[in-house]
Amino acid sequence: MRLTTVSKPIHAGNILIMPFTEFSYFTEPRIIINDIEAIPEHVVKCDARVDIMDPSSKKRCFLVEHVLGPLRLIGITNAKVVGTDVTWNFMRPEHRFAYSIGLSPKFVVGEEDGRQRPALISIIDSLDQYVMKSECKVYKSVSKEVIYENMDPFGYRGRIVISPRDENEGITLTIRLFKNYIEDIHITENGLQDKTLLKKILSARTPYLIGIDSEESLYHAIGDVAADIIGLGGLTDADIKVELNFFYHALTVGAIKRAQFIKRVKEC
Amino acid sequence: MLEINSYKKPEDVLNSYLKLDPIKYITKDHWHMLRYGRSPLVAIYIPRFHLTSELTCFDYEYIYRNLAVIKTIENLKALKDPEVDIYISTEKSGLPEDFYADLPSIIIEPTDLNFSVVHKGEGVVEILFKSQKPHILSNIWSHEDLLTQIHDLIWGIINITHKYYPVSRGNDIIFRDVFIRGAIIIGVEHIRIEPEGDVKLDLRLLIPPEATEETINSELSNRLKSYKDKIEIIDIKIIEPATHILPDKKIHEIATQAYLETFKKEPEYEWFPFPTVFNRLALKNTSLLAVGPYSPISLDMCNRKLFVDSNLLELFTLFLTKTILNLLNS
Repeated sequence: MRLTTVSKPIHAGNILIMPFTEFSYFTEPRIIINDIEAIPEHVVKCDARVDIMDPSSKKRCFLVEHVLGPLRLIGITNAKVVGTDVTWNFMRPEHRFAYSIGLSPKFVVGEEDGRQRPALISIIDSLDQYVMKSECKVYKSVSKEVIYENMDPFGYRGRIVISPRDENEGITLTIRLFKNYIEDIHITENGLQDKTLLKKILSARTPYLIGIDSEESLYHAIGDVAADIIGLGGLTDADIKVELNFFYHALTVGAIKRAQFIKRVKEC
Repeated sequence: MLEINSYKKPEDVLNSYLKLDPIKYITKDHWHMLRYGRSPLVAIYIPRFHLTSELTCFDYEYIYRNLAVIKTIENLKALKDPEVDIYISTEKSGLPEDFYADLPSIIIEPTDLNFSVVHKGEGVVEILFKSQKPHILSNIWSHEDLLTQIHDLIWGIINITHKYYPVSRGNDIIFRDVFIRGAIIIGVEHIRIEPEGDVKLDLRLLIPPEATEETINSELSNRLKSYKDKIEIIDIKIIEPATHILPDKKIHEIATQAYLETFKKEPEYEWFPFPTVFNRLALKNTSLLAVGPYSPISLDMCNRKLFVDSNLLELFTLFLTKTILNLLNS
């Protein structure tokens, strides 16, 4: 997969997505949010949301899944992202947390209405104008199958299997969220090619606001699983089958934290 | 009457502390100071949030907070001189000024094991509802109409709605609490019907940090849009400002490390939903942290509904012991 960044800064709701220029240093998919690298080791919270923290500065970034998933689903593998919120909304627990520890609202990078990233919908039909493919061609998958199961606080069991795939096979996702199910979603170097589904995912609200059984929640969960497995893991090729439970980020991030990786850089 | 570990009255809880041989004991206004060790380096506060003289089923979490502290002192005494001052209230009461410690202080409150360095403040508001109709008690239909209007008005004032969040009545309490923790909460304290038919309402508010009299005014006006011509806001007063301590002191660093070692994860920060002894102490001391088992929503839950997790209490005791030990050694 060729690493891809944005060709110019893009405002997308409460974030600014900026070009990535350090491919020679990061020879794999990598998103940096508010100067914190989004990798499994930096995850400090994964239940109803995913937060990352820089171990040295102790700065924390909240709701990163709503950056990582949408970017990979539109084919962006590498970018620098900064939050742009400047006003507090204390109804949001993430804002209260950030305020408590002396951070500004920009460290909360998820939208207040719980949608994935609806602002990107306007550019997905003309993505060529916004993306720039690099010279770096890389392959990253799990080196062996990861099977991880857990139980959420409500007693629902979740299960995820991440299997290696060969180079250029891309990512396939099969997801069950309670009664709703979708299979064989295919994500390639150019992201998710089913634009109708992509639009539904980008505008889907979180299950924690609308109920876990709604179809919209399943669309949202596709973005979240993409964020946690492909985004944090920086995978280019893998097969992911997951039966989600309620606070499912514990399952998905739990799996990617346990994964071992295989990586090859072809050209860079 | 509640009986847990043979505790029937708050004083029975106090007796458990006294059995641990404090070298000093002072009591004032339902607060009790017990000193363990000659040169105290850490202060622990355990406030009670109820006014009853006997323990009731609503004191379940109070007892478990105390059991964790009692066990912590036992742990410390087994290792070294504790050098800890304990301040416990046996009835809801303001902290006497001479009990304000300038030591690093941990306030054991039901924060659901979150770290809390922000406590909401409190305000009062007086509003006048102009009924624009004489109040003749013999005309019972007028009185009925007025009471219906007051009922609707009060619901208009206290009801919280949001375009995205499930905060209104009828939603699950757990999910509501996630969001309303940061909102301006308004309750009614007094209703007075004047002889001429106007109604005066005294309201009590819980306010987040950054809230000013202007923001309270704007929030009230927004909730009372449909009563625009009939309502006059007479007075708004913040009587206890919200408090925010930045967690950048040694106590926060040490507690974070102890939390990581005990619970194997980073602590999370959440606000406490009403002012407590924390707000008072913060006026003179910024080495403060509020933390404890159970949630603030457990304060009005009878023990039959309150789940006791002995493993959690054991872990909290371990965390507290580690934190105090490391503070004593720092």
